[in-house]
Amino acid sequence: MSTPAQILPIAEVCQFLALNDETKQMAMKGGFLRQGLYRMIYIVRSSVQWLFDYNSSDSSLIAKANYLYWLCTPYIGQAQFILNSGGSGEIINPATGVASTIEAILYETTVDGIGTPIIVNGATSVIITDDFILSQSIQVIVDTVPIQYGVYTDRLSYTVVYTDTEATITFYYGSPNVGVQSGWHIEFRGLKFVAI
Amino acid sequence: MAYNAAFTISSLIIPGSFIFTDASTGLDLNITSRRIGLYQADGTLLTGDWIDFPLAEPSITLDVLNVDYSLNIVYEVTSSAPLPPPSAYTASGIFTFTGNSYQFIDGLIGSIAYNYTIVGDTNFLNNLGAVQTFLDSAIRAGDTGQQQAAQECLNKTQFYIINQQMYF
Repeated sequence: MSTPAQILPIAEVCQFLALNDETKQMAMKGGFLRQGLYRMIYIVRSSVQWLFDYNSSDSSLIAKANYLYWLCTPYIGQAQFILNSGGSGEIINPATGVASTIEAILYETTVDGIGTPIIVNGATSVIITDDFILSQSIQVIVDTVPIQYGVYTDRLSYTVVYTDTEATITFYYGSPNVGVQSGWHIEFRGLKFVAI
Repeated sequence: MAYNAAFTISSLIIPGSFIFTDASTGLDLNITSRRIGLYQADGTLLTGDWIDFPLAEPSITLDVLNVDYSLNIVYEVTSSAPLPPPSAYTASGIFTFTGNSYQFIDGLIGSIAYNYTIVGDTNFLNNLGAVQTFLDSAIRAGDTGQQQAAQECLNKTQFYIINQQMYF
């Protein structure tokens, strides 16, 4: 779990990565799913930085810093690489010790429809099979809206468990948990290590 | 050795108050009094009068920031036998206090962090962006000594704070 002191410089880099991403997507595709994300990261980072400077032991600081960290998905891996560069700049997959690069992953599916992975109505979990997905990099988008990370009963949310070969996404929707609903279009975006 | 009046301000980001600390250099054994003037952008004193700064105290806490202000803080030291120039018995500077504005935005971020669906309200994000812009503008204006401009921006932020029920 990253601390606020670790999250703040990551967020500062992610802010520019998000802006860069949006600029490219708008130019190449005429649209971007999360328009204004860079500005949101800036506003939240500025506020968290103030709270950290004003009272680093404030009880709400951790929650706000974690929200900021979540906003930075899926740029975190790239930001960490940038922050750690200055030496050889080489990325090492911590699981294998092999020099690697970081690539984006995207899986799209419709509940009770076509796509990968296959998800049916009422499912509360799904497995993304892919090697060396970066921890905490997966973001879930349902019908063009990013959903919140964590376990909540009053809103749609998700958690992820990562292994070297797959990521298991668990959905939380209501109490009792009714899972995903038929017709939802779901995107899973993240990063993974690829050996070079 | 010449005497030069000087002071430091503890922080610009703490809501409600700040600590004024004497940082004068040199020696004058005939100092009789010290006082602090907090001038607003319109030229009037924030507290209506000068604030006495007791000689025995190295610092004083001024609990005067019920809202954010850009202040021209003037520090005057009085001596019964002032030393000749280059000694100086007055120091001043423009300080833009932003703690209340930051605290307000922090509350809004807390609302989002605990209830992400609130960002679905288009006006919430637009107005949050506006408040952040005014705050940033106040800081930049203050950094370049533009007290009037800084205060105007802080006034706009304060407007959102007062009418937060309508805008958030």
